[in-house]
Amino acid sequence: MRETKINALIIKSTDSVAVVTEPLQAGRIATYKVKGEERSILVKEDIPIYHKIAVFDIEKGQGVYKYGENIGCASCAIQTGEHVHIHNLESMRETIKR
Amino acid sequence: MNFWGYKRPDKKVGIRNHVLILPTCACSSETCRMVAMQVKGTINISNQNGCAQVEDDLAITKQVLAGLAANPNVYGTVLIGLGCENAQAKDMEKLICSKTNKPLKTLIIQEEGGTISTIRKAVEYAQQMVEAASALKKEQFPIAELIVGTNCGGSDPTSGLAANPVVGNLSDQLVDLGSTSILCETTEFIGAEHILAKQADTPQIAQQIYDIIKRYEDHLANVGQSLRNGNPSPGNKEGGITTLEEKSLGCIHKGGHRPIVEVLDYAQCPTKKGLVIMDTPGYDIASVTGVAAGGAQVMVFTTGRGTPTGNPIIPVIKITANQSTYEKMKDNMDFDASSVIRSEKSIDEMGAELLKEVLAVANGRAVKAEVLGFNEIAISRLCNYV
Repeated sequence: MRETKINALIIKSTDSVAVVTEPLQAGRIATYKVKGEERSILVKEDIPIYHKIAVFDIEKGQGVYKYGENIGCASCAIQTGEHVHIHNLESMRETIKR
Repeated sequence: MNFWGYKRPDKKVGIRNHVLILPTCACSSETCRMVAMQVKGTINISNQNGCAQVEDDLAITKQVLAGLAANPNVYGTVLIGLGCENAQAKDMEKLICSKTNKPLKTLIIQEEGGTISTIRKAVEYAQQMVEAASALKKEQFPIAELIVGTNCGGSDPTSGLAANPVVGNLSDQLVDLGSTSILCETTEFIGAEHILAKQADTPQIAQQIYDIIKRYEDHLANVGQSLRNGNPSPGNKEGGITTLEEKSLGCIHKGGHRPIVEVLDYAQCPTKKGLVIMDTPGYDIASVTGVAAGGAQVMVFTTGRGTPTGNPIIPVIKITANQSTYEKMKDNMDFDASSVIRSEKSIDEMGAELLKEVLAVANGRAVKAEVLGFNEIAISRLCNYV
């Protein structure tokens, strides 16, 4: 079950999601580097290439961060290792007030 | 940190030394092409506009044409008009002279008595200019003299993930060295405008950022179109992009993280050093053209799928973080940033390498699009021809 190969990328160390750089099946290990240090998480569901995986638990309604910025909020609770996409992440800015 | 460039009489510094054969309108474009074919060292553009345009569109065309002539990579210009077009050669001459005091010669086809008579004179002018240009010696200048544009086109998931952040890192380095970096493509700010606004140096600049986006969306609304509906596209979602702010964040990362000190209209020259925004369309060819007309000497261009984009006036450095695109399209790709995707190199390391690449190109190394002789331009418009 150990995989040492880097197969995911996180852009800012504070981000709540990483992006997988190869398709990862449930049960595999996603490994990414944060400031030169490798971190690994268990993949809980199949994740297509370049899709997002939660790197820590996110509560419903909480902001999701990528690039160090808020990219929307969790529409339901998301567990570490789960796929983060349209089924559990909602835009907060598609209509804005000026 | 220095680079080798050409000093112009208007005090600007070029990294190329072109003689430009510039048509005021579509009707003189072919004549310009024939002149450029005859004289080595010249470049021409194909101008689709300059006539049959509403007033505001004509003003944009004239600013772009004059801006290209004033670009520091141009030694001098042979301007060729037809005679009856809206962008009158005499007006264009005045506009160019208001921007620069570089060599300029003007010919009008209807006054010269046709294409062949015009070509004969234009070739003589061009030959003299190329001879004089070739006698110029390069000098060393601080990197602060560089104005660098950043753009993207044919994006894929690797663009937002690695190529754009690497270019953003380059932008930060350039700003820290005193240079100017131009972030453009207004349509790609939509959804992340609040983040750009936070980066603005003053509340006024933040408001200007909202204003250019609103102006763009209003234009589209006038013809019943919207950029927010159906964005991100089904293709984006399949590629892993979930929300509009996520997509736009990937794009605006090209600008880096320094304060935004100015917001420019399309084809306008920066008046400040640092990170600036230019209001350009997401259409990459028109965006690169506007930035060149605004006086940038070089463009750094990210792509995922691989685009051939070049420009007659400024070198366009093509960077991709998609390894298979780099391998498949080596003819067109200048810089491989895919080691960031593989976590073999950090964004900082890759950004440092990209700065070296920009300096090498500034010092004269030709990019792929230059070697292939690409000279595409597109001039942004508000509405249909009249």
